[in-house]
Amino acid sequence: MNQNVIDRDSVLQWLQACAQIINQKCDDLNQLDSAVGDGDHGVNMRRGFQAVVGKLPNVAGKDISDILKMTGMTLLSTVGGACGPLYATFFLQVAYVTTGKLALTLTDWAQGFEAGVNGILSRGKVKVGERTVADALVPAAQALKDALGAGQSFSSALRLCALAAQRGVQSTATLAAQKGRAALAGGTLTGMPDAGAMSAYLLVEATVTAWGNE
Amino acid sequence: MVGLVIASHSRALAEAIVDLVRQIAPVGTGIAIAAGVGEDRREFGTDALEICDAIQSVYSSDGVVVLMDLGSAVLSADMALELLPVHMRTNVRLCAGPLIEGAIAAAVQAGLGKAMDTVCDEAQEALKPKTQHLSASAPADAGHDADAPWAQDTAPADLPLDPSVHRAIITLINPHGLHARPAAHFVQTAANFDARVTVRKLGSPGDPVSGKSLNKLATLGATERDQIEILAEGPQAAQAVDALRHLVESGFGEREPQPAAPVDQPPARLWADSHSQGTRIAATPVSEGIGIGPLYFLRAQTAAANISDDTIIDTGAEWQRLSRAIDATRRAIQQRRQQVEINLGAAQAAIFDAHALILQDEALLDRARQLVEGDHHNAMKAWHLATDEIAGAYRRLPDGYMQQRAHDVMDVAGQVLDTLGQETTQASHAAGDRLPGPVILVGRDFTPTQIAQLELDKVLGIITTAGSANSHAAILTRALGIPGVAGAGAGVEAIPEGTLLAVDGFDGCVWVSPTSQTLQELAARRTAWLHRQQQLRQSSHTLTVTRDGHRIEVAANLGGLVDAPAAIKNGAEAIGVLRTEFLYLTRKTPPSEDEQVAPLRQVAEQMNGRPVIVRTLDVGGDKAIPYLPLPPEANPFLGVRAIRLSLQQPELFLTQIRAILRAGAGYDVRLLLPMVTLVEEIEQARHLIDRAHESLSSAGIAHRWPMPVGIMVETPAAALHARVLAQRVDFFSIGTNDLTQYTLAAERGNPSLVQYGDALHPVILRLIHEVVTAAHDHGKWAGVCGEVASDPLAVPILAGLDIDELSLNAAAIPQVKAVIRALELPPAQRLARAALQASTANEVRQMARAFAAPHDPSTAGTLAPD
Repeated sequence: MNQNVIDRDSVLQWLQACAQIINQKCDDLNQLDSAVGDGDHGVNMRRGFQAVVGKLPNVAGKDISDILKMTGMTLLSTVGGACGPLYATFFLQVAYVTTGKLALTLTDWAQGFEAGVNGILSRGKVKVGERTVADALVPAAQALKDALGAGQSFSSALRLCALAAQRGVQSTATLAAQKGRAALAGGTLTGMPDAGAMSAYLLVEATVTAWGNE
Repeated sequence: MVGLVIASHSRALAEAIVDLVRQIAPVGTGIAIAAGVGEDRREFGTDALEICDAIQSVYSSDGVVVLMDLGSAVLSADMALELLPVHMRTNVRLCAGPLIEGAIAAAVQAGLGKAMDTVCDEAQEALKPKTQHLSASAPADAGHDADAPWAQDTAPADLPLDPSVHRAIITLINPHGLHARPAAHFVQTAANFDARVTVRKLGSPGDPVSGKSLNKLATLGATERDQIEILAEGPQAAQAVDALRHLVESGFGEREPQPAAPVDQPPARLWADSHSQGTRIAATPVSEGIGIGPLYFLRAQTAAANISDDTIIDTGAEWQRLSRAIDATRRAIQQRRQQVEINLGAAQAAIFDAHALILQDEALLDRARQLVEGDHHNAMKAWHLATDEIAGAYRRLPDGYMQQRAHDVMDVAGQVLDTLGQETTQASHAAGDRLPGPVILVGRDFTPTQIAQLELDKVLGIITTAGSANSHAAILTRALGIPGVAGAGAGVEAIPEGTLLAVDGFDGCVWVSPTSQTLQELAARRTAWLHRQQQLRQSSHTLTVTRDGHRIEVAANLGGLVDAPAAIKNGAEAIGVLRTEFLYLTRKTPPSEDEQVAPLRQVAEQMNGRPVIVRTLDVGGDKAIPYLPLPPEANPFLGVRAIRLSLQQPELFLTQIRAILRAGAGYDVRLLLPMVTLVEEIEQARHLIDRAHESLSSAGIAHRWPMPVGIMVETPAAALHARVLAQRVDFFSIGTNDLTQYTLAAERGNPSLVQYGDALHPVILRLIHEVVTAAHDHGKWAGVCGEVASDPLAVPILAGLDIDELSLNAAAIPQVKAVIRALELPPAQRLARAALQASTANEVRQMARAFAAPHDPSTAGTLAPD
């Protein structure tokens, strides 16, 4: 890709990479989820992203914002679990911020990403430290912003972002669940990371796969 | 009624909850589910889009309460709110109550017609009975009851001294006491009375609880053999206590039947017994028939309550906003007008013309503009003030008819306000409130818009407390054949919703909680009435001849495809006028030939060989078409419209003619030209028809030839010139609506010119007579297709004028056929001759009334049938 901007095709590639990585890690996600939840997070996410990939041909000619909007709406109606509305909110917020843009600069992406994460925080009424997607995404958004401020290249910014997300996921292994059905399991400490945070990290990691090659 | 949505991870769970709730909720309670994900929704999960759809499927202006299970259901429901059209969002509550208990409590409250917030609150409290029950039975709490003073107490120390307070102590005899279903029954019964009802379990601590709250009642924990005390206070306290005592003593209908117990009565009897007075309220009869059912108040649906006092800085933009809303409302009215015209005929639709005219009133628009631009009022406020002034002016007029117009102004004003309130969304108007089931509608007065939006199969009767028999709503009620009375008085508004009412549209009265005897009498009359209607409809399927064997064809006017089956069902012998505007109006480009052939052929096929007379495009004047930019005209009704327009647009016209010729291949399709004035018009049209025939022939395309061509006689010129025109056409169809308007030079939609609108004016009858004799002299036939053809008073006169065909809206066919079959021609001819000599339309109507009621000694005269 062009190392300075993300164009429409790059976005399509990212979504395909998301579907691919979620598919690969489906069982792992289920297993993480079964520790405190009902063990369906991987299946739910896979169902959602398979549906998104199935609709990509319909939006091939649309602009970035429309593609992201479609992604959000599709996840909303196919994921089924709590992550459905949360990830839908993320994509819809990014779509909103990037309206009318044919290509995204690092600045655009950092702004969109932050808006998406903020959307999740207010939708789920969550904050860092509650063993949720926020634990991966909030540091990731911060890392993007910092990288932008430090004048990093697009691809290294993406790597820094993914790294921060990964550390966030690891931090959840020592946290007790406080939200959703997972909290009903009694807030048991399992020593395993949160499934939602893990899938969030995978989506961030997919940006490196799709856009990180110089 | 408030709608309910059950959102769950599990489809099976949601479906089972609905089954459970339906046991308790009244029929017609709107409940929708959104549950499960995946292709067949059998996987666990929730879908915000499905929740959004579910909300809209049960949405009404009363609002929707959403109950959900946990986790993603909460997030999805939250998200669904944001996906709703803006105007709906504030009218939906996400309820934190427990799913199952909450659903039951909510359904009961919704069924009682409670407001959204009450329904939501009750559902939220729904866990209390269970919590209290389980904590009360816990060992730690067990001891204190025995020592409590209430344990010995069988009657309260402070007996009510106030005579308005009524009281009863009753022992519960049904197996489970006040558990969910009986408690629901209790609440439903209590809610029907204007009384504050409280209930206490004797020998138990705790304050009396409201008898109108399911949760509170269930909290009492009263079971079999417990005694409860019912206290009622208020105007209907005695009736409330009686009805509730009855309910409890009858074991809520649950108890095993016991021969000795005289209390085992069906719930319906409760009304009759508790309201043994069976009050009769006199009212004005509006529409024949008898309806019996529960009272349901139809509330106004305007956004008037949401008008803010905010002032506006950018007045130009605000005025544009208001103008857009006015335009959108006018378009909506025109659409509704077309719908009503198709279903009920042009006369009923004229009401909406009057509405559209209000929106074009320059004085009103100027005033509204001044309020925005001069006084900086916001659009809603300005519109409200301006319309209020006009309505007030109407109300102050001494004439009852003109006072009614105030109501029309407010109807239209409300529609614009609704549009302004919703303009940020693309959602269409909610198509009226969902009715909870078959009901008797009660309201101060209804707007034609409200009546047009009703779910007709659920309306057993219509009562207005302030309306009159000549309001537009009353006219529509009659046209729809719903039993109705008007002006029943404000007292009716105090009757609790759900009370059994009987409407007698023959005598003009309302029975409140009729006694069983009255009910039987009314039911018998109702059956007889329905039977008579049924008979009319059945006999409607044979050809129509008078008693002395004179044949008159009864045909239907059709405005679209959907009504053909109804026309056949009601016994139409032909389609007298198939209006083709529906092919042109709702689109951006003109319809192609093929696009026209298919629907026309469909009607011909449905009529199965019976004649179908297709009228060519009749636009211009008041009906505009987007792709036919017509220059504005000072007098559109006297301008380029109907055949005049078609002849100026020969390409458009040729396409239509070719389509009609092709649709006629193998069927009795005929062609009708609208609003012909001059001989030249027929000649030019005939020339184009010949051209169409030649081109179809040379292309080898099947079509009907020769094609019978008739003309609409709608101008005085055509009527007076009928002898000349008759040589050039195959038949005449007299459009009395326009003929009256053009002859008496009075616009039909103008509410202040109603007295000029009667097609039974002797002058119009003379024109009809002229056309019929001219046609017959030339071996042609003549029919009438205006509104007058469906007027039972007018039919004998038209028959007496020797008319060959009557074409009318399908709903009126059975009645018109019955009138013709009861006729003999010679007396009808005597009536017609007398009518031709009359001086006024009123005189003609008096003669016609006397003819229709020959047994009334005061009017019996020479005109009566022998």
